[in-house]
Amino acid sequence: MSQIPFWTRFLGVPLVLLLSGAFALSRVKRGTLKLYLALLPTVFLLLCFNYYPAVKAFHTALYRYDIGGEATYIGLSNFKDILADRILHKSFANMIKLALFACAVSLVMPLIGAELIFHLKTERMRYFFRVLFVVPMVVPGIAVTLIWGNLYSDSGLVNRLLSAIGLSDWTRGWLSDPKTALVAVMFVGFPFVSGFPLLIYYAGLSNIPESLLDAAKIDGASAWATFRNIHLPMISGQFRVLAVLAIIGAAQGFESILILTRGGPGYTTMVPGYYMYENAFSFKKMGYACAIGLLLFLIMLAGTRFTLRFIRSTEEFTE
Amino acid sequence: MNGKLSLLRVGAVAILLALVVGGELVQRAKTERAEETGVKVISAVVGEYRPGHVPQSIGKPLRAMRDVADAYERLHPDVRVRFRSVAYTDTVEGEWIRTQLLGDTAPEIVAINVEAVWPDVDKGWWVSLEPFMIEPNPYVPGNRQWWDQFANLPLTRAKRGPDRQLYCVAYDMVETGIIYNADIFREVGVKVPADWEEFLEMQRKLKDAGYIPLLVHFQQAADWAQDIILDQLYYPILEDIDIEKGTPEEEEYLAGYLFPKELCYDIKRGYFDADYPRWREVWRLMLDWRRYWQKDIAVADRNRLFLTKTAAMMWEGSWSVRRMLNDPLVDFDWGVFYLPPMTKATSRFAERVDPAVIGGAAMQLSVTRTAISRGTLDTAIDFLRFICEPRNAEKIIGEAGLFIPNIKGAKLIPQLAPFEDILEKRYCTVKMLYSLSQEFTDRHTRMITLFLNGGISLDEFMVEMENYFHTLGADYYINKYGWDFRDYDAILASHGIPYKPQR
Repeated sequence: MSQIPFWTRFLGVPLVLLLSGAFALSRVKRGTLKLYLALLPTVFLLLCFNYYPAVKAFHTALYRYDIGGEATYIGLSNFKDILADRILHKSFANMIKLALFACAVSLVMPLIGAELIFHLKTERMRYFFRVLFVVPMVVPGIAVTLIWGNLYSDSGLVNRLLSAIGLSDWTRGWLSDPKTALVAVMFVGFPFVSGFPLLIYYAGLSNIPESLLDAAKIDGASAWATFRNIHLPMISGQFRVLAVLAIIGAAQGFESILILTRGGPGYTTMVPGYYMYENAFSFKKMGYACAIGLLLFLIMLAGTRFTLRFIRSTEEFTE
Repeated sequence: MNGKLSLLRVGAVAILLALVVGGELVQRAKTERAEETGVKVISAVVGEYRPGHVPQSIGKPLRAMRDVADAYERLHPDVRVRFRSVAYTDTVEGEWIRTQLLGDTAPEIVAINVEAVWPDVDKGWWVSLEPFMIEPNPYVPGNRQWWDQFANLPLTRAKRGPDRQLYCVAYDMVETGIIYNADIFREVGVKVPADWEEFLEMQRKLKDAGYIPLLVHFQQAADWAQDIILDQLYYPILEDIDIEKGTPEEEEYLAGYLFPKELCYDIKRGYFDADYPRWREVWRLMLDWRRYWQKDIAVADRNRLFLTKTAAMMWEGSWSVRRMLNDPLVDFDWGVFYLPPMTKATSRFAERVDPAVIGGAAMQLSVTRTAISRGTLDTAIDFLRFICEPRNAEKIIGEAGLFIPNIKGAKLIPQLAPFEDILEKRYCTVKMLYSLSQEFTDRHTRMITLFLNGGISLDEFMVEMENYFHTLGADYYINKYGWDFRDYDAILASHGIPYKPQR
C-alpha cells in the first residue's frame, strides 16, 4: 500500500477543499446542483472526521474496550463507574474552578484592554497597540506553557523575586505543592489579555454607531455610564461568543495540565479532559474514556445553552 | 473581468489538483520501483542513539547508529534502514507506540521498556525473540547462540515476560548513583557516608551550610527510592515472602525477586496493608529523607541546580556522565557513590544489608508485528544482530557515553566504571512500579507525590495505597490471569511459614 505523501495529506486536501468552497460560492446564483457537488467533499470529510468519531465514541461508551483487544458490551456500566469515581468527581470540581476563573479573566481582561485601546486619541496609536497585543499570538501555546513551568520552578523567576524582596519563606515548588498547584495553573497566561478576544471586542466597539456615542456625550453621560449602558449592550454578541468559547475551552482543554503537572500532585490539578485521555491511552480503557467524553459533551452543551439563553445578543438590545 | 477571475480560479484548482495527483503518482512510482527492485525498508526507534539526537542536550549530535546502518546497507544493498523519532509526552510509557500498532504503522524496531510490552503480548503486537536467541549471530565469528553475546546473561534472561518469552534485546545497562560535588564536600567537611545515619547527618550539614543537599525527582522517589528502602526493610524477611524460586537461569540475576504472582500473593497476605509496620516504616523513612531534597520535586532541570553549585548532590543515572564530561559549568571535582545501608539506628527493621541495585537493562529493543505484516521480520532481526556485533556496539554505545554495554567485547568509557561496579550488586526485591498494572503505577506515583508534598498524612496515604494494591494490583492480575494460590499455600505449609505477616 503506498503511503500518502505528507504534503498531500496536510496541505493538498485542505487547499483543494478551500478552493472547492470558493468555487462553489462564486457559483451560488447559477445553480444549486453544482453548489452541492462542491460542498460534498467538505461535508464528507466533516462526517468522517467530526461526526463519525463522535457517534462512534457514544457507541464505544457502552463497551469495555481495551484498545487493540476485544470489545465487550456492558451497557451503562461505564456510567455507573463514573458515578463512583472519586477522581473524576475531583477533576470536575477542578474544572469548575478553572472554568470560572478562566471565564472571568478571559472575558474581562481583554475587554479592559479593548476599551483602553478604543479610547486612545489617534488611529495610529490604536493600530500600534492592537498589533502589540496580537503579535504574541504567533508564539505557540506550548512554548508559553513551558516558559511558565520554568517561571514556577525552584530556581524560577517567581521564587527568585520572592527571595530578592526578602520573602524566601514563601518560596516553594508552585506546581508540586498541593496548596498552590491549581492556582499556579490558573495564573498561566497572566495578565490574560490575549489577542483574539481583544480583537473581537475591539471590532464590536468599533461597530457601535457614532450617533449613539455622540448622543451620550451630548446628554452628559460619564465614561462609566457610557460603558455600562452603551458599550456593554452593544458588544453582548461578542461577549456571548467568547463566553461560549471560554466554556468549551475550559471543559475540554488540558494542554497546560499535561505540560505542567499531569494532573498532580496527586489529583489536585486533574481535569476531566486529561483524565479521559489517561484512561484512553495510558490505561487503555477506551470505553470508559468515551463515557467521560460523552459526559463532557453534555456539560458543554448545557453550558453553551445556558450562555446563549441568558446573555442577550446585540440584535436583541437594538430592537 | 468575471471571465478572467473564473479562469484564474479554475486554473488554480487545476494546478493544485495536478500537484496533489502528481505527488501521489510520484509516490506510487517510488514505492513500485522499490517493490520491483526488492528494496526492503525497515524503520527503527532507537531511543537515545537516534542519529542526530543530542543526548542530555549536550555535546555533538550522534551519528554512530547511522554509520552502522550505512555499513549494514552496504552489506545488504536491498535494505534501507530509517530511524524515526518519537514525541514523548512523559506520561505512562507506550502511548505513542500503541497508537502506531493499532494503525499497523509502527516501526519494526522500537526501544521501549519491556515491562510496557508485556501487557499487550496477548494482542499479537510484539514478536517473541526467543526462537532467534538460540540461533547464532552471523556477524560474530564463532558465535553459537545469540544469547552468548550478552555480557550480563542473567540480566538479559531476566527480561523475559510473564509468559517466559523474551521480547527485547537488552542492548546496554544503566544504574543510578549519587553524583556529588567533591569541592562542596571538602568545604562543608563531609565525606561519602558509610551508613544511612551518616548519610542523613551529612545532608543536614550541607543544608545548614546553605546548599540543597540532594536533588531527587518525584519519579525517582516513587521508583528508585521506594525499591531501595523496601529492599532494606523487607530483605530480612525474604524467606517469608519469596515463595517462588525462578528457573536456575532466573535465579542467577533474580534471586529473591518477587515476581508479579508472588507480589500479588503477598499483597493478599497483608504485607502491604496500611497497618503493616514494616510497610509503614518504608514511608516514614522516605518522608524523613524528603526534608533534604529540593522544594520542588517535580522540577525538570535538576542539572542546573547541581551545575550552578546550588545543590551538593544529585541522584541520577549513568546518563549524567555525558553532561559531567561535556558541560563547561563543570569546573569542580565530582564523584559517584551508591546509597549506603540502613542500620538498626535507622529503623528496627533494618539489618545493615548491602543496598540492592535498581537499574538493569537500559535500551531494550523490541520487534513489532509490523515486521511480520510488512515481511521484514528477518531483516529486522538481522539488523539487530548487526548492531550487536561488538565493534558496532562499542561505537554506538561509546559515542553516546550514557550506558554500559551489555555486549561482550564492547568496551565502556572509563568514567562509567563506577556505575558498572554498582551493577555488580544484588538486584532489588521488587520493582514495585513495574510489577502491577499501569493504572496502579500511575495512581501509586500520584499518591507518593502528594504524600511527599504534604498533601495527605501518612495514615491517609497508607489507606489509599492498600486500596490500590488490591483493586489495581492483586485483583487486577488475579482476574486477568486466573491465578489461584493453592500452590503457594502448599509451599507455606510445607515450610511452616505463617500466612499472615508477623507484626
